[in-house]
Amino acid sequence: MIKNNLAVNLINIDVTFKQKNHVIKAVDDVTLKIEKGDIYGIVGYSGAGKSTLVRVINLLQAPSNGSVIVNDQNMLALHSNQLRYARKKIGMIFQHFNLMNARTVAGNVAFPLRKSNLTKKQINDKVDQLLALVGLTDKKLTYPSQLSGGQKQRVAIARALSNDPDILISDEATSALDPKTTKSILILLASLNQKLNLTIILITHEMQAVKQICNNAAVMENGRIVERNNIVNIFSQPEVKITQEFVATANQIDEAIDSVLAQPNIKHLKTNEVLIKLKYIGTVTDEPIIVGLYKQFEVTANILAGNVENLKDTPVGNLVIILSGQANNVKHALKFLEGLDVKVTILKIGNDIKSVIGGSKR
Amino acid sequence: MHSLLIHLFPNVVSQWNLVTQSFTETLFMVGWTALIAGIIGISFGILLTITGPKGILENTLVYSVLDKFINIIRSVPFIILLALVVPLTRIIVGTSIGTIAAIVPLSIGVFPFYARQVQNALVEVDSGIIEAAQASGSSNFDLIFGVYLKEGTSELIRVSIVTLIGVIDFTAMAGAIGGGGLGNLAISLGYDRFENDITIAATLIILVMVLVTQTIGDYFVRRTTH
Repeated sequence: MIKNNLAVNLINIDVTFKQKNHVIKAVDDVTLKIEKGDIYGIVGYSGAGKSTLVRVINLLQAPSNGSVIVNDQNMLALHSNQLRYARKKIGMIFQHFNLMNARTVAGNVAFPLRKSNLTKKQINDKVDQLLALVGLTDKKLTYPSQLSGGQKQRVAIARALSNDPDILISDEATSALDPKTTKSILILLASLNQKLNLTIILITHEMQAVKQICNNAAVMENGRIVERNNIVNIFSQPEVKITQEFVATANQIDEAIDSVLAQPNIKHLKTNEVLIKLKYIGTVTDEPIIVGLYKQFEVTANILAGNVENLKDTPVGNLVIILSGQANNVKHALKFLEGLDVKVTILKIGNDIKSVIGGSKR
Repeated sequence: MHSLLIHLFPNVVSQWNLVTQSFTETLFMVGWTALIAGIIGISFGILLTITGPKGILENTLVYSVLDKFINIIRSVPFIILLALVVPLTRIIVGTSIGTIAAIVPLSIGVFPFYARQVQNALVEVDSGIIEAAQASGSSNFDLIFGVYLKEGTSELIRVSIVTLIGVIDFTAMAGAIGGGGLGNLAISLGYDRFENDITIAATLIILVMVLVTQTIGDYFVRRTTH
């Protein structure tokens, strides 16, 4: 087999479920390649097939069709013992933590090490080491029912790491947690990715989580991957509608626009004004656009809403501004902005300017 | 004190040996039935759970055969079962009369009930926990003994207590085939010979047995619930 840099290579995966009268295609011809050391987000609404798809990776869900290569190993060709060994190298964490209530924290973390060749002492050391890694050393002998959600997920992470896996699948692992705890769990995952060179597959419906730690992401709808790209492109230039919806949930700019449009001075926009949304990526952000507009075109820009975010060290900005000035100047200013690699969307336009541009909304 | 006992329980005091013997017989039957029906019942309960819907070794055919088998035995009234299994008892024990012989119908009568109780206890174990253990590479053996039985412990103790109390109840009927025990004592002396104090004493002893069983069981349920 050709060695490559892929941790996960799913090829033409179908998963169908037969119900009484009809067949449901939970996963429909999905090919997914995830590189070693990557943090890969899989986004979609409930029922999109995300969880089913990732369960194909460790064969908790057998595919109806397609091939499953994990760490250069054809998973579908493995015997049950080999499969169990392969699963030990694929950690998994869940939305509801799925900890054993009858075992202590240490008992949960040590459970996957049963039947390993380690001695009791070695297992105990390993548990200590893992609990230190997730920051729960003092909870070693506690039962899960006495832990908070975030602590439970940390225990689950320690358990998932007990066999030193290469891959960690996170199935909505932060969806039951509050925003602050979510953030701390994501920070932990990102640090594990760095420290252990762990490939992480993050299934979520929270775009904020993807934005925070992923390098790449795929968006799923109706069992298919409808868009995939690196994180900067996903957030700056989402192509399909569902991706745009998800991206909008993360930057809140659409909500900001709605509230701007409801303001009285916007409802009655002056004839020499235009309301626009600017979207820019990378170095453009550094240039003093607004000052430039005034100096070159004598157009004033009034900022109503905006945000700038760093996605993997690439700044992506959204600005909602009103440009006002002499109609021709505004026209030139808009041309200038487009030349800067800034995506300009006209939200509302005053009549004077409209007549100059000739109604050619862009 | 002694004279008060003689006054209240004259027949009990005069036939004290019979009472203690009956008590021992009841304990004997309860103990052996609990052991035999317990082992068979828990095995069937595990099989029902793992071959049942969403089980780790889901198998519709095996499950439906087991399921129907259990249901059929459970639907035979115990007093009829006593008579029905006489030939089998003869093969196993060599006789169909006596305390030892009674253990055969008792075990057959109790194990399907216990199997169903075990199944109900084990299906309560969160499927997510099973899935997590599978994802970490656990074998089916680990899943059964390390997850199902471990996670289900307190619930298993609870249903075992319910069953054990049922066994105490059933042994009282074993008197019908000469099994002896407290039930037999209450009928043959208390009822047939109008020695009402015997009936009351037998009832009280059984009551105490049930209470003690329940109390010990509750203690362990608490101990194993986290």
